Amino acid sequence: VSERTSTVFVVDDDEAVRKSLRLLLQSAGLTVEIFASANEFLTRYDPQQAGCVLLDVSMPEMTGLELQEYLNVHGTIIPVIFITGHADVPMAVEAMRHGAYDFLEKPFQNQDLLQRVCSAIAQDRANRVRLEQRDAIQERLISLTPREREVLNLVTSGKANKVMAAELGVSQRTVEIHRARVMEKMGASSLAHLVRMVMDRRPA
Amino acid sequence: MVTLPQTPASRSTLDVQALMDAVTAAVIVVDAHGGVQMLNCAASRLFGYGASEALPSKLEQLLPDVPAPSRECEVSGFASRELNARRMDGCEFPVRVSIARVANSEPAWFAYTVHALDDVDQLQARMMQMSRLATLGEMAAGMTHELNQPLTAIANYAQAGRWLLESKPPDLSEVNDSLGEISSQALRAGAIILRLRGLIQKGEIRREPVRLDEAIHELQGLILMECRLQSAKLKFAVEPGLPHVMVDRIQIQQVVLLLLRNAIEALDGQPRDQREISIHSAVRPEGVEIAISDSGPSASRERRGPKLAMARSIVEALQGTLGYRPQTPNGACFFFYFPIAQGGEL
Repeated sequence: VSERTSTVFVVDDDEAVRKSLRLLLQSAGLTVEIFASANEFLTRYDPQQAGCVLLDVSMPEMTGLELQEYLNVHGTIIPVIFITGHADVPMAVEAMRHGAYDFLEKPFQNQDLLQRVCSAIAQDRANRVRLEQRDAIQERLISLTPREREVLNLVTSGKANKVMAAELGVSQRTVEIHRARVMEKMGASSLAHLVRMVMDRRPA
Repeated sequence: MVTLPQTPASRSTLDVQALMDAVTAAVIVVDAHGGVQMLNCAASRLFGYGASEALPSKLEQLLPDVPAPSRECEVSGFASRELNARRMDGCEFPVRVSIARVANSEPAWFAYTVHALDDVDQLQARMMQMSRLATLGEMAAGMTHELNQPLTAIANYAQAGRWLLESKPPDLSEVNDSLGEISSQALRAGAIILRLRGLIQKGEIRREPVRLDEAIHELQGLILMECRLQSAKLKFAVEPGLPHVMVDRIQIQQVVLLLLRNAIEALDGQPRDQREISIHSAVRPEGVEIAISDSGPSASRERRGPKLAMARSIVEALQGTLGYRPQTPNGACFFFYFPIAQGGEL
């Protein structure tokens, strides 16, 4: 999954700014796509594409903040870095509250830009890896039988085999067999690993 | 102590002279024959009557050109006009006089409120000049933001060029393109500075042929920013190539900003998804119109703040018209228009 290329999506209504950003980021070895408006971005962007968005705050029609809101509502996880022409505190606060990854003021230091773009891309990768793992755990959970599921719940809530056997009305030996099956199906290397997988899933 | 005829009992004990003296504008109260009944302190001062001097008995001693009060006041109830006033020492000076009939007075009494004209005019001119300068300042600030665009592009192209040169083998044709872009962005920055300089030189109010769409276009950055801060959606429908009108460009931009802010204020209590502002243009027989409407409550329109008053005085000083029409189902629209400039004036 992390082998997939990350792309920097540049959304800016000023032609010179977006083209210069493309060249700059390309010459730093990054893959870049440019968009003249929020609408153009929304029509062409596939949420499966990894990377980050460099977004101009003030554009006509749909502003950067509105685009961010749209992405939030549609569960898109790609990090957004806002670019603004003026340090406008209320807007910065608003953007960060809407989950912006970072904020850059024009004109910016190129090193600064590159650093933040790279850290946003790393964040996006980590997010995507975590999501895929979560999906994988979900799939494994679905493969458990109802009884195995019961055992899983009891194990992860800290019950000993003897207690479980009593609660489920089966022999301790049967519990042990179920427990081994759960560990195998879930791909857990230890009890701690199993607990962590179940905990990770919980916020979803 | 003077008691006005037929005042309600509860008010008859009020010392009317003290009340009048507390008013800072000059007020003269006369009867239907022009006989002076009262003069407040501000009026005595304005007309040069000291405390020891006998007060004039007839209105015409103070306002020689004023028509007999009854006729026009009976009809219109209220009138305001500019004419000459005469001080006690015989000196004449221009004033603006408002006339109102005292309610419930029988026989009729009339109150004359007198403003020395140079005061009013000078004050208004100074206020207009000051707020015009404030608008200039805002536009200059907007242009400095605009400067950021080419400067950002230049910085990007320059850094990209350096990285391209460092690559092995260096991509010289890309570097060459970057240098070309840098020079054209530098020229773009120069053009913005030139416009900024032109703006600063426009110190004096000057009526000249102006295309309202161009004047408003220069404001677009500011307009967008203001709408964004209030989370208002902006519908911008100003047609390009509008006929010329004779106005002061900066003052008109100021009027647009005043009306825009007036509209934005009306959105205060609205849910965020219902905040809308639109700016429209129209060419009509009476002239070129710019209308700014909002989705605020119509009722709040009765609240006509200082922004609107300022916009109106600027538009009227430029011989245009400012008006209001309600919107359906709610909201308000303020518009102004100026007659199309005659070909000879272009």
